[in-house]
Amino acid sequence: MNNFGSLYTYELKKICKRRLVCVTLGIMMLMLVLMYLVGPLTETWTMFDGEKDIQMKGYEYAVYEKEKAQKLAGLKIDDALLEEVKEAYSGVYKEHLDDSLSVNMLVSEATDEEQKDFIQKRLQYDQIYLFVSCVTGNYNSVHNMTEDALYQIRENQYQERETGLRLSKQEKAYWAEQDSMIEKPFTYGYVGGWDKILDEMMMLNFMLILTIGICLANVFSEEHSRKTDQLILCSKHGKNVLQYAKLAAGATFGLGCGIIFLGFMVICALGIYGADGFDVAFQIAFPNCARNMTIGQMVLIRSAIFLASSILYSVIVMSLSEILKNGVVVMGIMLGAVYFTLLFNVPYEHRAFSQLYNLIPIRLLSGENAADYRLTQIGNLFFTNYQSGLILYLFISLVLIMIVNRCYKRYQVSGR
Amino acid sequence: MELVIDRLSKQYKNKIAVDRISLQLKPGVYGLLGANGAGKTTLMRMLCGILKPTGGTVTLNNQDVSTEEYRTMLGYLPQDFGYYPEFSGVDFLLYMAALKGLEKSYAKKKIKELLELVSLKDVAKKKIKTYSGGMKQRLGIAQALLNDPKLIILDEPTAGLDPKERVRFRNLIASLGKDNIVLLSTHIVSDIEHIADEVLMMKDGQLIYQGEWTEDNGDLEKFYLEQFGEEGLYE
Repeated sequence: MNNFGSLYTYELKKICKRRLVCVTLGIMMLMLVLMYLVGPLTETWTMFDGEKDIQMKGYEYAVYEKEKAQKLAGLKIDDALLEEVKEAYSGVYKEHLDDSLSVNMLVSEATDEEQKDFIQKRLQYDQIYLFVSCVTGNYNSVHNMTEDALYQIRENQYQERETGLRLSKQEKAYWAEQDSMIEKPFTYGYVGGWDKILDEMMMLNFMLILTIGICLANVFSEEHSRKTDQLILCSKHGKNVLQYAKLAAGATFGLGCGIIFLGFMVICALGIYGADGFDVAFQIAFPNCARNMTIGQMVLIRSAIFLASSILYSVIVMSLSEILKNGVVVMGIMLGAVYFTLLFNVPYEHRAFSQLYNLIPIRLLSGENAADYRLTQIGNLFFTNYQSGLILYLFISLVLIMIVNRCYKRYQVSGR
Repeated sequence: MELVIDRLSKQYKNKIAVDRISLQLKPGVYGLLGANGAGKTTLMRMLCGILKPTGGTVTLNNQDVSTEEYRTMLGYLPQDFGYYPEFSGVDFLLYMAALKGLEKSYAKKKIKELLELVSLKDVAKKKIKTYSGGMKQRLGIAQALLNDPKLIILDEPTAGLDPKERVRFRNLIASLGKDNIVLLSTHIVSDIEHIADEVLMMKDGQLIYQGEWTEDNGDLEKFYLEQFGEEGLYE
């Protein structure tokens, strides 16, 4: 009988009963409520409907945008739809179509009646207009856009990205095959809720690191600072079972925080922006991406990365706690590491380092990493960055657990 | 049952904390005396397996100090032990019982007995941070006895106890020493005079005296001070 269950429960209790943990969790929950609930619901949006400015609260605006987008849902982004968009966006300004004047400038030159007509038509199609602009990187490109040109520009964009990333022939072939499997022309669908979730994951991961860094920094070090290590290490299970019970309890706490944070954000995002579009192609949110998946699948993948990162952070923090035996230093290191990864970029020229660096969870969860097409090759198998990330986190966690085991068993109670 | 300490040594960079101590201890109470820095705590830590010796071996019933079997037979009260302030006395003891591998139902029964023994029954559910120094010390004694240890090592066990509690505690140790090996260190010579079957005296890491102390041997405190060159203090 090794009492793992009892020790695990007590270790979890030790973590949760600490005042610092309660305060940190309280602050983080307050921030989550403000960021994902109060903020979006209380902010005011002003819309010009062609006649007057309309003020809408956050939720009303989200519903308005959703309803507008839902009218376009199921339409293929092909020549027929592009013609409708062009028509709506040209309005009374056909004579200016070849000019480089922006839509807003054109509107400012129009009469009131012309403006009303133009804006009301335009508003129906602004999601497609934005999609085309996003593909081309040009807000006026819709005026002379055709289906062939649009998808050719998109292909050129991701091929340019491939060159920038210095992909090998095999990698290019892999992504060409992936892209060929994506149904084109794309079928538009409203993905507001899912897109919001993807947008917020990086920020949420930042909060998760801070929470875990603060709450778990003392899991091992406090036994030394409180001098309870003497009692623990001379007990039957103190030298072996306990370290695993501590790691399991810490990882559970970290994962729990991850589930609560992510769950809260997902509920808020889907509650406010809607849960439509789970099966819509990821390209509707990220047009130039060559990954053959739906936005729902991308949310699931990044959620898995997010939750795996919560376990990884927990193991890292607890390992540092045992190695350094000082909780404050551990917190400092975690905070420093977060800022470093947010501010420091490794150029693509240093492929191996840059590729590895981009597997750090907070970077892997960023939107732009969806277009990191570099693969990890093991034998004849290729792994995408998301797959590599999960494998790497597992590997790092196991290595750290072995290091903790070594440090823990070798620790000697001396001095004092 | 026998605790065998064979040429046990601990050397730090420039200092020999424990110098080739050899002992064979049978059930009984052993009082360890020595000035600060004599090596008492270092010796006790090595006997508890929480400090690795530079040389020598420690075995209890042929079980090496590094084994789980050895730790199963051990009860240790460190000189300055920590606790979890947010835990209640019962929680702390339940946690220690889990660490010592006790089954929960047995642990609960044993904890009830021990709390009564150390007079903490009424405050068992209160948080340890509300305990006085003496109460914490009694809680430490209770945790050391949780697993019915065969080898009980007590480092300054009477520190923080009031005179009444000290007397109660001396009696407890004396009864434990009938069937078990009890090694206790203290600065309070009278504690040892009253309960120790044998006196062990350490100086500069070495054992300078080992044997029974009877009234015929004279005043233990005087002898103790003489050994440490403090005769003038004893008038």
